[in-house]
Amino acid sequence: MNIPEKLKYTESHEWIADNKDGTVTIGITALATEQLGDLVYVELPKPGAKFERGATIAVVESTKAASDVYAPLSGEVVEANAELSDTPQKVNESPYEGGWLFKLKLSNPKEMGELLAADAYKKSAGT
Amino acid sequence: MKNTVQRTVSPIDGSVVVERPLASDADTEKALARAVEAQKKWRPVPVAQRVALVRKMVDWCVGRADTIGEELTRQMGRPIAYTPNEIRRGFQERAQHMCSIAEEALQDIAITPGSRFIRREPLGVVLVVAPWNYPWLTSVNAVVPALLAGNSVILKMAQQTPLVAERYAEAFKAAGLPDGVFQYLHLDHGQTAKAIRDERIAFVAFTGSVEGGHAVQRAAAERFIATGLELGGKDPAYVRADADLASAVENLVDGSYFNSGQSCCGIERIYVHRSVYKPFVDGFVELTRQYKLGNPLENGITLGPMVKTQAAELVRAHIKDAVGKGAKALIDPTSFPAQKDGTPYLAPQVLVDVDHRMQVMTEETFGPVVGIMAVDSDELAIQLMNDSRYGLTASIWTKDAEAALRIGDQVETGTWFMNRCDYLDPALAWTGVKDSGRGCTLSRLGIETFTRPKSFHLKLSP
Repeated sequence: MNIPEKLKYTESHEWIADNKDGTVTIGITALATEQLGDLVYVELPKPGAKFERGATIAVVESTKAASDVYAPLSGEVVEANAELSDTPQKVNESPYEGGWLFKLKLSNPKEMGELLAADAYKKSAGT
Repeated sequence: MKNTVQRTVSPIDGSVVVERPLASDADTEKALARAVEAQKKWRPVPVAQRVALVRKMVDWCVGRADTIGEELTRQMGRPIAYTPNEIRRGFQERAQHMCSIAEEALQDIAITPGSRFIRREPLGVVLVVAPWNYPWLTSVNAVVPALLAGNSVILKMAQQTPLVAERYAEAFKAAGLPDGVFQYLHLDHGQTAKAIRDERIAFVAFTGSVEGGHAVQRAAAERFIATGLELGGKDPAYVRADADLASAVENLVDGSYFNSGQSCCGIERIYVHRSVYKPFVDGFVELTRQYKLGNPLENGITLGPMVKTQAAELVRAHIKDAVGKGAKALIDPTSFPAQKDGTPYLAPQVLVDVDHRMQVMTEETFGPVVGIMAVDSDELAIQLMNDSRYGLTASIWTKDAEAALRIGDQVETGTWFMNRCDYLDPALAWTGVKDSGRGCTLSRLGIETFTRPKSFHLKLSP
């Protein structure tokens, strides 16, 4: 299972890349996409919307499930991956690159310290 | 990320046949609390009364076998010619047998009557996690004995066959089972693991893959509860020189391909004595060619699609691996017009010139393909049958009962058959060795599974 070392994770299968400019890029892990199967629809937040950590921020739907995606950190949406509205399967094909979901400008960067490193995520996911 | 809705995709045409919200955390909490309370009231109900309620539930299901069978076909793809019989035959037979032995199986074991005895107490709340391939047959093995023994039950049915859980609930309600004694929850894998970790769950009865068995065991690792794990198989058959070949061919073809080979105790590999190898293979191929692959809702179809394309692709990969290593495929897939790569519709296949370097002879294929290999002796057949990480069932085809017993003693397996296969006798323990799992269901032992012993030692005079 592909779980890149350079990223941070949540137990609920989101990944977080620190862009080092006060923003982060967020997506769902390869394990999550494997469990969901082929995605058919992605509902993303609008830029400017603000979310507290733990709030439902996006929805992904596959042929076999619909799932809420949680905000792993508090912040304001600065960009959503517009390409996914036409090609949701990109999340399956490239979960850590072309399949990213949205970017957040952090309102509480200290929360970053509570995310999981790759090893801890692997352990929590039982892989 | 958290799943909120589960969808059941029919293998027949890829359409969504059932969509259900997954249980929320609050739903699960409520179900667990109700199960605990209901079990307290269920426990003192006399066994005879429990039996009567279960028998009513069974009658309700049997009376609707055609309807239930059709919805099962739509959910998982087995031909409609067969699905109603999952209720009318196996489900009914097993439930009725367990009802018939429950009172005796649950009696106190008296050492000194009245003062020293062992009582079989219920465990509490039992979580049953059941698969899609035979959802009624696998779940009845646990749901019925758990209830008969005085436990309450929460059923988590596979995402592919959620309607089975709902029909159980309707049937138990119609039978008059008190509220909360039987409940179901639609859960994903993560939610199921969370439920197993909950201190109110006293036992987990899981039927499914080895991977799933490991996940259940990991979830239960921090607790001292037992888990019953009925996992996969790579079940072998050994056809001796003295076998009734016509009967062996007929039964082993059926054992290999029934339910598109998606049976935990389906035949996956056959060892045939060299002196009868050619007529056996010729007969096997001839009978295999008679299957009709197609839409399982149509009359006359005897082989449906596999449960999903991904499963069929795994089987195709095993065939490709074997052929790449020198195996010969004796069935021309184009003679089955419904077969199509990239779909769950897969022609049955017979592979010869196989050996144990090939995945198809060592890994669970769980599809309509079988490898047939010639052997020269009983000793080699035993060695090859045991050369497996699994041990669910194995069968021998011979007229010599003494040889069957002698060889059976040396085969690492949960059940040893002579001149039959792919069948569960409800009076016998259903169990496996090695990666086929742990614990047992059915039989008297399968009722005891859902109890714990409690010793009573009364000193009647000071």
